[in-house]
Amino acid sequence: MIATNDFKKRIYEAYDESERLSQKAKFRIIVKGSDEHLDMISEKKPGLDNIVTVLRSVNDTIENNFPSNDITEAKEIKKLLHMLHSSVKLFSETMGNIEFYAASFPEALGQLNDEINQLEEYIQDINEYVLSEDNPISDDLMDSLHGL
Amino acid sequence: MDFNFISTSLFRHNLERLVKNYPSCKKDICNELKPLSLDEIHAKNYRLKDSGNIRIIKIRIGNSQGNGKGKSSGFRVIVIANLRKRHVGLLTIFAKTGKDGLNNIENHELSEAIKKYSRDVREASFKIHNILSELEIIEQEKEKP
Repeated sequence: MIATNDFKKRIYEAYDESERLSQKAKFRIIVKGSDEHLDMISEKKPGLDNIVTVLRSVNDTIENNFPSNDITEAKEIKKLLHMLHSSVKLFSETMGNIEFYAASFPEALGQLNDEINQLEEYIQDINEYVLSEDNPISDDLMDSLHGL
Repeated sequence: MDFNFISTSLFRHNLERLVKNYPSCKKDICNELKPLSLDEIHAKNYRLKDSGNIRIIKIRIGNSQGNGKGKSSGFRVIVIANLRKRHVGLLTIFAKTGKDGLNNIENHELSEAIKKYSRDVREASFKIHNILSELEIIEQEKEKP
């Protein structure tokens, strides 16, 4: 069972960090190699690294606390994950669409996308294997395993 | 160790394909699984289906060649933790990133993997692996159905 409050807190923290970074991810014309460019890298990189670390921590926590047996909790966690996913996906796309950022932080943005894909995998698995009344793994198939 | 790690032909096929691009894959799987008892694997929460003594579990595995990218960009192993048979059945594996990367397993593929497990156990045609030695096959068709 999830220590729900701590878990929620981590998701909200990740969400807040994503929103904070999104506010700063504005389009600016910067000359490559200029002092402003170097300043931008110094300014943005720690934030990007931090959101990747925070998301990674959230994703590791979910694996250990996946809500496989509690529909109410699964619904609540799914909502929180959607909220977080929506924010970080928008942030990632904003950064990725600005060529300057994309070229400056290819590795960090790649890692961010890996964590976003993980959120999507959890949401999909909660939908299909916990909340759906039609679990892709049928009861009949499982019953047949007991008879082996 | 009082339980076995067994594999289906599907798992071995997918594993051998992955090893070509991720040479440390077997080692990474072993490092994740070898500290765990059967009960600990059975008790893992990332369950796709729970049928009492038999549970289908997804396990996230980091890629040690991924420069510290974490488990999100590693591999997924789907297992059956079978308390009655005292084994962990390795059903299938996929990479999350790279050329062969998938975001998730398709439903029909998972059902097929479980059916293959069922057939392999019934026919005793699975392989038993040494989890301490990079999944080396140590015995063949020894465990009785």
